[in-house]
Amino acid sequence: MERFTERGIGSIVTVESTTADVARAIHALTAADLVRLKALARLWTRGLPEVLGWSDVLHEAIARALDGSRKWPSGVPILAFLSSVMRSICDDQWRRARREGRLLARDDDFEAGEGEARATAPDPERALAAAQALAAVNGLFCGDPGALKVIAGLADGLTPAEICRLYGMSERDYDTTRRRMRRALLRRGLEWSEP
Amino acid sequence: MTRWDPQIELARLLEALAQEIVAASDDDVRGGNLAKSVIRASADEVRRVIDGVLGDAAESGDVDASLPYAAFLREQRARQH
Repeated sequence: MERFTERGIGSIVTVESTTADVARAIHALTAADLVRLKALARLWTRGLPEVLGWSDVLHEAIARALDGSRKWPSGVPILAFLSSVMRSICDDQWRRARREGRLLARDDDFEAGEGEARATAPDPERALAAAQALAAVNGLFCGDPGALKVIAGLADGLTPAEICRLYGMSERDYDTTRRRMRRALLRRGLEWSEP
Repeated sequence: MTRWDPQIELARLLEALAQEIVAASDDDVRGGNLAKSVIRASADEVRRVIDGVLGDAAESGDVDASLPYAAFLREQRARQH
């Protein structure tokens, strides 16, 4: 990220030209980058509860990056940065939906204490949507047993070495599988229907 | 025995898959049985979203007007009105 210094009265202030940098980086994205960006937006919007499409989330992510409400950390690739902003927007969306659900539930609660119990309970709607999204991701790789093993390992938070050890995969098998997965993700990321 | 939490699993999985997409090479994009027309159409679609945001940002002053792209968008909008 570009930085320049301005000499203020008696001090040197470091200024980050974030907005201009982000605009330049986004403008410089190649066709392949744009395809990756769309696949990322599709991935993060899978199973969102509201009618919020991938382009809405991408639009909002770029707007937040440009207005400076999300800072682009130095050394992070622009696609990774925008991906993290989109993830945060989708998380916000879930939180908003849950809050609104609670407010509605509170209106319906006649017995004291019931609202509090609901507030601390797991969110069944989100759990169901998450289970459906997991099934959709598994379905994406249903014809590829190797990919399903890697997916299961990633979902369990295992490292590549642990996945290889657990499933008896060689490092080469793992890398080949990951390449197949990337291509399938890109292909299906563009084909997935709107959530 | 711990209870299965699909939200945690999904969060981990999406994060890992997002990293895979970010790490995908240009060859992966072109070699994934994607028709050129699909790649072009998708890139155009995303560029339209970007143009929309950059255009709004240039108008509101969030984007440096001296930036060629923002200036171009501003000029184009001025011509349209």
